[in-house]
Amino acid sequence: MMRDEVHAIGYRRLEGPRPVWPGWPIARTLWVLGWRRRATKMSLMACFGVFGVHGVWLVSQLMARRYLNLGPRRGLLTGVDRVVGSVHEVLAAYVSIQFFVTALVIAVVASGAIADDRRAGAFELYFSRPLTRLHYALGKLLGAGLIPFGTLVFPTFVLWLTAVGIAPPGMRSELWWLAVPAVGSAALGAATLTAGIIGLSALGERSLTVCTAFVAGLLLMSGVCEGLVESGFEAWGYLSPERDLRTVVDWLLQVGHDSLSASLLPGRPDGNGSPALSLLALGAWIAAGLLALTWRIRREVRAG
Amino acid sequence: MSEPHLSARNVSKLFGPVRALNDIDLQIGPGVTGLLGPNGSGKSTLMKLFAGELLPDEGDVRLLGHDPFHFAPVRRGLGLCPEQDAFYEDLSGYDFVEALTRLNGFSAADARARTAATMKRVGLEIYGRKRIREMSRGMRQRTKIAQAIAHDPPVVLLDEPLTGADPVARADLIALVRALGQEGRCVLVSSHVLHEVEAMTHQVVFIRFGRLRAQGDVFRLRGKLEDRPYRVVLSVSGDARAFGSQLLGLAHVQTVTVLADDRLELTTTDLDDAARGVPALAQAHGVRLTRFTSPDADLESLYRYLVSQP
Repeated sequence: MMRDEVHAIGYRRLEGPRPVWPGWPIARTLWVLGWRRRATKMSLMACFGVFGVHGVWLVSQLMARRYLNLGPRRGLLTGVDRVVGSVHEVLAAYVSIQFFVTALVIAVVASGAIADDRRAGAFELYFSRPLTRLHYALGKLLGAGLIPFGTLVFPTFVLWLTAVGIAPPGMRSELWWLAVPAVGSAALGAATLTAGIIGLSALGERSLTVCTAFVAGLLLMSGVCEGLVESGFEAWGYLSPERDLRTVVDWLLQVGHDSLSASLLPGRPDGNGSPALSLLALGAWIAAGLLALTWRIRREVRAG
Repeated sequence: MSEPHLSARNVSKLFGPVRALNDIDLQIGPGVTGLLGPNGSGKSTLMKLFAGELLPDEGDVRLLGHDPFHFAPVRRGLGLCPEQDAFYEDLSGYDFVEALTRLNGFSAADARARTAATMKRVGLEIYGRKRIREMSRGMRQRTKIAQAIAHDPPVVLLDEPLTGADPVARADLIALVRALGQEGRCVLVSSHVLHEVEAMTHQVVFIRFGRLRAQGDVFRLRGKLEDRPYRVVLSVSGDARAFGSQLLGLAHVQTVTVLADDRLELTTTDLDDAARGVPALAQAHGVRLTRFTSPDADLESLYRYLVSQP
C-alpha cells in the first residue's frame, strides 16, 4: 500500500486574549431563539403586569403610611394595615404569583433548550468545538436561569429597594432584614423553574410538548394537590412546587395574609404544615431536573 | 517527520457486535483528501473519531497531535460540516454561524467580523440574512460549510458537503474546498459523488467494510492495479486494422480490438508508456491519431475495482 508524505503544523494555541467562556454563547443562543417567539413577548408582558400591580400596591401602601404617620391621623394606621397589608405580604404575594407567570416565560423560551438540540442534531456541532459537557450544561442552565432571575429575583429586589426607599423613617429599620428572605425565596423559585424546565427538556422530544407538559403539569399539580390537601390528604401538598414555594416564602417572610388586599389576590391559600419539608421537596425537584440533564448529556455526548 | 494533522493508528471501533472500523492505520496531512467508500463502510465513524465525538475501542486517534475525545481545546483547530442538517431554523444564517463561532472562544465582535467574512466567502453575503428555514438546500449547505471554516481551523472535516447544491453552487463549493486545501489546511471530504471528489483532489482514502483498502494519489493507485490493465480507445484516420496489428508489437500492449473502421481499443499495463508509444507509432506509420482516451484511468474505475474486491 502506498504511503504519501505527510507534513503538519501541530496544535497551536489561539493568539490574543483569553478565549471567551463558551457558556455565554450557548445561553445567548437560547435567548435569541426565545426572543423570536411571539409567546415570549406576550408572557413577558404578563410578567411586567404582575410586577406593575405589586409595585402600585407597595407604593400606595407605603405612601398611605407616610401620610397617616403624621400627627392626628396616626390612629388610623391599624385600620389601613388591615386594608392594604404589609410590605411582607406584597413581597410574598409577588414571589408566589410571579412564579406562575415566570413558568410561562421560561417554558416558552427554554423548553427547546435540550430537546431542540437533540432533534436538530446540534450536539455534533457543539461538541466538535472546544466544549465540554459541563460547559454545555452550565450554558443551558445559565440561559434558562437568567429568565427567572430577570422576571422574579431582580424585580423582588427592586420591590424591596423601593419599599426601603419610600418607607416612613421609622419603618425602614424593620424592612432592611427583608432583603435576604425575599430575594432568597425568589431565587429558590427561580432555581426550581430552571431545573424543572431544563430537566424536562432533557427528557422530551419536542419543545412544544415540553412547554405544554411543563405549564400544564405545574398547574395540574398545584390544583390537584390543593384539592387533596383540602380533602384532608395533607402530605400531597408537598408534591406541588408552587405550594412548597409558597410555604417557604410565607415562613421566611413571616406573612399572615389577613389583609383585605391579600385576600383579593388569587393563589394565596395556606401553605404546607412543615416549611422544612417543603424546602426539601423543592430541593428534590431541583435535583431531579439536574439529574435528568446529566443523564441526557452523558447519554448523547460521549466526548469529555 | 512532524505530527500529521489527522492520524489513526490501528484504530478499531465496535458498535455492539458490529466492527464499524477494523485496524485502520492512516495519516492525513495538508491538502484536500477524499474519503470514499460505499454506504456503511465506516466513513462517518472515522469522521466522528477524528472530531472527538467517539472514542476508539482499540488504537489511537490524534487530531493535531492530541486526543480529540479527551482534550477539548484541540477541537478549536477543527471545523466540522456534518452530513445531516443541524440547524436552529429560526436563526438567520449570520446568527447561526456567529453563535457557533463564539463557541470557539472568540469575542462577540471577533465572531461577527469572522462571520461576515466567511459568509462573503461562501457566497451568502446577502442571503445569509434570511432565516435558515427560508433558505434553499444549497444555501443551507453553504451555511453549514461557513460555520465549519469561520474560525479558521487547520483541519476541516466535510461530510457530503455538496448535497443539495445546484450545479453553479457545486462548482463554487468545489473551488472553495480546493482553496482551503491550497491554504495548507487539512481538508477531509467524504462524498459518494466521485467526479466531484475528483474535481477537488486526487488524494483519496478508500474504506470498505471498516477496513482501509487504499490511500494515496488516484493515478498512482490505479497504476498499482497490475491485474487490471488500462483500456484505451483510439480514433484514427487511416487503416485502423493495420495500425492495430502494429500496436500489438508494443511491449506494454496486451490486446487490440477493432471497434470500427476508425476506432480501436487496446489494453495496456502502462498508461504512460502507451501515451508516449502510441502517438509515436502512429506518426511513424503515417496514421493520424485524432483521439486517445482511457475510460478507466479515473477515480470511478478505481472505486469500482475496490468495491468489486471481496
